[in-house]
Amino acid sequence: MTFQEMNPTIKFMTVTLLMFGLAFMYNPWTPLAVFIGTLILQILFSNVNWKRWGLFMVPFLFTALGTLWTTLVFGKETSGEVMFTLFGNDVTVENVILAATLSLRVLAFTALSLLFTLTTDPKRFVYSLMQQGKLSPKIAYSVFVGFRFFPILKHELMQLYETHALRGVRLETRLDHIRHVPNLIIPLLAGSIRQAERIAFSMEARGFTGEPRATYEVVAITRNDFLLASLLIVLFGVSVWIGI
Amino acid sequence: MVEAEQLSFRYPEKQSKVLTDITLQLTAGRTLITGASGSGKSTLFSLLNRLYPENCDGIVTGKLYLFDRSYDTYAAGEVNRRVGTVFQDPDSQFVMQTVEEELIFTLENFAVARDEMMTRVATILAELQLTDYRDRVIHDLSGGEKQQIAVACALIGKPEWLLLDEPLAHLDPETSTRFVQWLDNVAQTVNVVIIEHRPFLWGGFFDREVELVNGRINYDGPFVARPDYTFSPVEVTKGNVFLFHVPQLNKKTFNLASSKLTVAEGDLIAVLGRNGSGKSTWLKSLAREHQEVGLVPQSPAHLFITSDVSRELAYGHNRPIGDIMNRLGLGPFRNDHPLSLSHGQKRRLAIGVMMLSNKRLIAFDEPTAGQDEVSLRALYELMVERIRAGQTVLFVTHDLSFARIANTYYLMHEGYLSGPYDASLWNETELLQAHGLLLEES
Amino acid sequence: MLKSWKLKEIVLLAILSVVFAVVYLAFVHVGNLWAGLIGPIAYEWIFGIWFIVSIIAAYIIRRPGAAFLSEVLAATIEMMIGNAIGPRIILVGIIQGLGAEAAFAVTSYKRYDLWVLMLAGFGAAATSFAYTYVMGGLAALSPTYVATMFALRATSGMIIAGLGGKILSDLLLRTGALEGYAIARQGRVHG
Ligand SMILES: Nc1ncnc2c1ncn2[C@@H]1O[C@H](COP(=O)(O)OP(=O)(O)OP(=O)(O)O)[C@@H](O)[C@H]1O
Ligand SMILES: Nc1ncnc2c1ncn2[C@@H]1O[C@H](COP(=O)(O)OP(=O)(O)OP(=O)(O)O)[C@@H](O)[C@H]1O
Ligand SMILES: [Mg+2]
Ligand SMILES: [Mg+2]
Repeated sequence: MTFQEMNPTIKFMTVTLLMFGLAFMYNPWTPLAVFIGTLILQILFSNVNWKRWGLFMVPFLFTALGTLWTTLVFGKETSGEVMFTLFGNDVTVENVILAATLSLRVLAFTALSLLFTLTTDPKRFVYSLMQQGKLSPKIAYSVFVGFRFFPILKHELMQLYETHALRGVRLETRLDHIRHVPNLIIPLLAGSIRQAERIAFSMEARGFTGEPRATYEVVAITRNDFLLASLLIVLFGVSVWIGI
Repeated sequence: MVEAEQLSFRYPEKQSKVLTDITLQLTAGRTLITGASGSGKSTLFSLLNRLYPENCDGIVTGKLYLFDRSYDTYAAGEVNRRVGTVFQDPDSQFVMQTVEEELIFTLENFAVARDEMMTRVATILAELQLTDYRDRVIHDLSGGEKQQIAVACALIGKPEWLLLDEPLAHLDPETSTRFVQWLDNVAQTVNVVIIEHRPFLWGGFFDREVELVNGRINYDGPFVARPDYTFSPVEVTKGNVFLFHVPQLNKKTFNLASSKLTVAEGDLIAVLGRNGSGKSTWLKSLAREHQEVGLVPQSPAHLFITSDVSRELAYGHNRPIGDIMNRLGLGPFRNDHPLSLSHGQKRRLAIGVMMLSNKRLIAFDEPTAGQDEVSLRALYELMVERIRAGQTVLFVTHDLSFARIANTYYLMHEGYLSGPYDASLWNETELLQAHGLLLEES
Repeated sequence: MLKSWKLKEIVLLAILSVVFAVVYLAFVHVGNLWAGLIGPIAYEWIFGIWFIVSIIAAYIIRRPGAAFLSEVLAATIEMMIGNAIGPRIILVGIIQGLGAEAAFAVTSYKRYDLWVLMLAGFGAAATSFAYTYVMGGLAALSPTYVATMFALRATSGMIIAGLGGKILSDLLLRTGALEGYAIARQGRVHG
């Protein structure tokens, strides 16, 4: 029983639910508890690549800090006992609590979404959305085509550099290459659009009509999915209780 | 399957019709479609499998019935379950990442039972001797390999009709002989319509021929066999000699050995070898390493950087372009967008672009693919002019009749380049056989 | 809604979403670092970037739903390729997409000139700001600060998304790659 194996649609719905719930909690303890609880669950039920986790987390630490101090400095006038003054703004207890809540909320949100992102294979997610979420196959398969575009874009870009070199555009230094990028963006996009069109033709030529279809990949729902979902919901319940 | 009466078709951004007054009934059997490059063959195919007119906003007049129903009563993709298509361009007919996924995608569209899918995939790959490619990423395959996979995809759904747009153009001689024999078997149960510039390669395969001239039907009747065209060797006068070095290159599934190429000014060189032996990889490497090499890649569209034919030819120099444009049959299209040309036209445009360059060595990757005889003669003349002017011309081809024009030969085999050979190569049966260059007695 | 769409239009929509998901994500990282220094207002003047796919998709494809769908798809893909805001970003996409879509709906999907595109940029800015106000707890900030934020975001939506989206699409049209989409059809009707 791991989050990797969990049905992506169910996982997605649960995580989203928790985030919404969090948005209505105005005390610092609930987001803190959710943050810690999510980490514990993630350690227990998935193999976390902490390096990646950290890499994704760092930018949001900045956001959390930013939120903290803007809320303190630009906080609304509130009545109550002034604790200290920051850049000419009187900071009350209420201000501090709010600032802590908002910035911890950022952290809790991030932890929850990393729980989802780091354990979900995009392709499986789309299959599951198609099978459980009634997502239109037209959209689902267009998204698959979209995923394939990451390597294609990279390849097209290299191709463009080669073409331009063959046609006499001389790029010697690395700086030249960077300066040349704007000349490449429109051709790159135009090339991708043409390629997308041809892929759409091929889909049709292979008999793709966009109607419900047989699928080889089956993403099932199992009892474990509900167990994991319940765990997350229990975590949220406990966190709310801590906050009161 | 097809019943057309006074059918005409025009692309929305162009003034003149591509197809005019087509009255045609395709009945069961094996039909050959011929016609000069740009005569509208591929366009006709796209109407037959209903990609057009809907997908290009094209303007259709007249009657077109597919399986006794007007074309406009079909939903997108519907008729394609009965009609399999292999497009002309090997690069742009795939949807998924790997060969296996692509085949499964097709089976899913046909609502094949899940437990049957894997057997069907294995069977078709085995039949076409493509089993080794099952897990390969399609994008990384060679032109000829892609084309074979496309055939597998078209056939796995067991269509009633099969449309093949120049299926042999990118295949090596041995593979194409094998393919024709194999299709001969398959065509017992499926009806085929094939576009081909070299009917010779098909022996007695066809029972009917339809010829298009400028978008009109010029001939419709029994197939008449005719001999292949022939080209004779060019006399060359060699000048100074220089050396090119191509370094070793390792890819996931393929290694190119390092090679040295000694070329003389004014020489005409052909490089031959099997599909997937590494010719294109080698050429790209050669052009990347040496600035004095100009290359027309196997997918010529990659070369274009402007938005009309005459500007494309004139780009980056101030030599006159009119002569070359007309000889390559591109005059009427001078203001068209390079990417809206037919396949053969695109390839000729790319050839024209390189012919106008002053690179020391001009290299062409399969310039002969999909060209009609007139275009090949023009190509021949242009090549001769270049070598007379002291440049060196090198080309890769699977067309053994055209290959005869060369003076020097190199052979590619599993990443190893061997050579130079002279014209006596053609008598060395074993060598030819080892490189897939022997056509079955015909 | 998708019934009348051509497959190639949907595929184009997906491709645009993928391309702009990458752009969006890049700008999130730019914005984030900066936001650490000057607070959430750091995003405001570049906020238009995050609406641009709506405007481009609607302008090229010209069908009801194009603006909305492309924004939602871009957001979803952004999440999957590593925006740690996570599933919430899809909601953001839905809300921004609705704002842009509204502008086209108001004109009954008949007009696609610069003003309508800028209106779409404004619409996305308005709805997305409403969302930020609630979720980011902006009620806790002083009204002048909030008003400045909104003014910046609205301008950015109109200029970067509206005007910028139009310029980019028109450049693409000139390459000939959009023949066979509604944007080219319009041009042909008017000669
Ligand atoms: N997508 C397109 N848009 C506009 N014009 C086109 C398009 N495709 C082809 N044409 C034009 O229509 C004509 C017929 O093209 P088509 O591709 O059908 O020729 P073809 O007979 O298949 O030639 P080839 O043997 O070179 O492949 C050409 O003059 C070409 O310029
Ligand atoms: N990027 C890549 N990654 C892995 N393998 C590759 C890549 N590009 C090419 N290959 C493989 O290298 C081999 C040589 O490819 P190449 O395109 O050079 O063949 P070719 O001789 O030009 O064949 P053809 O006659 O079919 O065009 C093929 O087996 C191909 O699958
Ligand atoms: Mg053709
Ligand atoms: Mg090749």
